[in-house]
Amino acid sequence: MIRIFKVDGNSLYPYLKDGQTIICFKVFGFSKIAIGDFVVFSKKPYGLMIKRVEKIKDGLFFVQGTDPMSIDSRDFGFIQRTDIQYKKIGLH
Amino acid sequence: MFKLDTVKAHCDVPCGIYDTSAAQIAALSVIRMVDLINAAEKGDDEAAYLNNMARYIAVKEQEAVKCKEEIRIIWGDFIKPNHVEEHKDVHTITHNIMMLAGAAKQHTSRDKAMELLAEVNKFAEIFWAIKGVETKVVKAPYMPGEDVVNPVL
Repeated sequence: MIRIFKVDGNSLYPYLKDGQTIICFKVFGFSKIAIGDFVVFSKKPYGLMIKRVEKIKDGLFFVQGTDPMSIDSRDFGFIQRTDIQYKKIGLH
Repeated sequence: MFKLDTVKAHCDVPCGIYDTSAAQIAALSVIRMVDLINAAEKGDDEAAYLNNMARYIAVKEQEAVKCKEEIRIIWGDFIKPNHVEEHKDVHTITHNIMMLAGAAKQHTSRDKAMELLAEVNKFAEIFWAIKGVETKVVKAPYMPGEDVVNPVL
């Protein structure tokens, strides 16, 4: 399943810019998620977020923005694979 | 055909700078003041002795309060419910720090001051684990030269 999202914010600049539209694949159990992938996930209390996978450890994913002020795993820790809903299509 | 939703790529302002090092330095300072208090000798110059003792005690009070304040801010502002689920002892450790810092103000026991540092180090381990940063135990490169948990950067 394909979905189009609009990026809100600049924490992944210059890879993704505020207002940019991106195409994403739905992530299933068999989907491969690698370091460098941009993943869409749900995180309370922030809602639907997009960040880049920086580390994978024991099946958990450490996601980060490129901006040092980004709200990401440096604040809320590793996310679960089940939190990841979509993955951006295309080169990083 | 396609649904267009928004995904957040936000930054935090202010930038969410949290670090346990200030609390660790404060705990080390408490130990150092306890050492200085216990090693002080009266000698012939009583005024100088009293002056030094007053200063050691004042700094010990100040650093114990600072230690509590630094930990309280990280615990209250940074630690979230999901962190508590993963690190169930964080509330107990924080409470221990509050109690031990209070005890450090009341007493001149080195053992109590060392217990304070040990709990602050436990808190630092949890904090850096949440941040996904590895830690290592190192000797502080200054008096009192006790162990501290530092991030591997």
